[in-house]
Amino acid sequence: MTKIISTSKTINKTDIEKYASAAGDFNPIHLDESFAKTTQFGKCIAHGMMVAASISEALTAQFGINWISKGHLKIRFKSPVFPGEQITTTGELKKNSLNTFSVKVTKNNNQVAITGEASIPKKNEVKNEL
Amino acid sequence: MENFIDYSKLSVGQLLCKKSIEINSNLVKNYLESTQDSSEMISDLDGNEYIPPMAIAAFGLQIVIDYLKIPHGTLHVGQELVIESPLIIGELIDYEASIATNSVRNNWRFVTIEIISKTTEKNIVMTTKSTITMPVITPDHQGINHD
Repeated sequence: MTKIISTSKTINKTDIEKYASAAGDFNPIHLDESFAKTTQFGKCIAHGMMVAASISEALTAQFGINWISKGHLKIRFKSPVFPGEQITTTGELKKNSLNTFSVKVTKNNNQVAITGEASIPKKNEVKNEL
Repeated sequence: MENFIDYSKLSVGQLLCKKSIEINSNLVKNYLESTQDSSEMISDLDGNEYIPPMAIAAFGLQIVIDYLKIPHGTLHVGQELVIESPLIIGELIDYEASIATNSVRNNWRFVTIEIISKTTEKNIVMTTKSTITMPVITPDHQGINHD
C-alpha cells in the first residue's frame, strides 16, 4: 500500500458554523465577515483543525484501528481554506519508509492548505499493545 | 485590562490548565457532521465506538484557547498528534496543557502548547502539540485584541 486513497469535499460556510458549535471555537476570523475583512485574509477562513480532520478521516478509512490506536501525525497549515473551496486529501508512502506517509490537503486552485507526515504502525505492533 | 494575558511571560514547561471532558455521542455526532467525515466508525470487540482522534485533539485545543483568552485573529500554524491508545465514546478524558515553546519572530509570537490527554486511570490517550501565532501585543495595545 503506497498511496492513501484520496478524498475530496467542499467546505461551506454552514460547515464552518457547524464546526464552530461542535468544537466550541467561535473565533470571529471563521464566522464574522466584518471582522475577517480586517485580517490579512480579507474574509472568513475555515478552522485549521476542521480541514485537518480530512487527513484523520482518510487515515481512519485506510488504516482503521492501526491509525486511531498508535498513529502519529505532524502537519503544517500552509494556507487558509475559504468557504466554497474544495479540498482534496492525499498521501503517499515516503521513500525508503515502510509506514510513514507524506500527507497533503490541496485546494481546487492547487494551493496547498496542509502538508505533513503520518506514521501508522504495522498491524501486529498494534495488536500486541492493545 | 483584567482579562489581559501577557503572552511573553508564558514560560516553557509552565502548566496552563487541567480540565476533564466527557466526549459523548452527541459531541462526536456533531463533530463528524461538521467535518463531513464519512469514514466508518471503529469499534472494540463489544461494539463500543471509538472517538475520532482529531476530535480528541480539537476539544483539547479549545480548552487552552479559552483558558489563554487567545486574541481573535490568532492563527493555527502547526499540529502534531501522537496517539497512544484509542478511547471509547462516553469515557472521561483528563486534559493537561503546558507551554512547549514561546518565541517571537518578525513581530509575531509563536506559542506551542503541549496537551496530554489521559483516561481517569491515568493512561495516556494522546499527546498533542499545537503551534499558534499572534501579533506581538502589549497591555498598551490591548485594543487590537478585538475581544
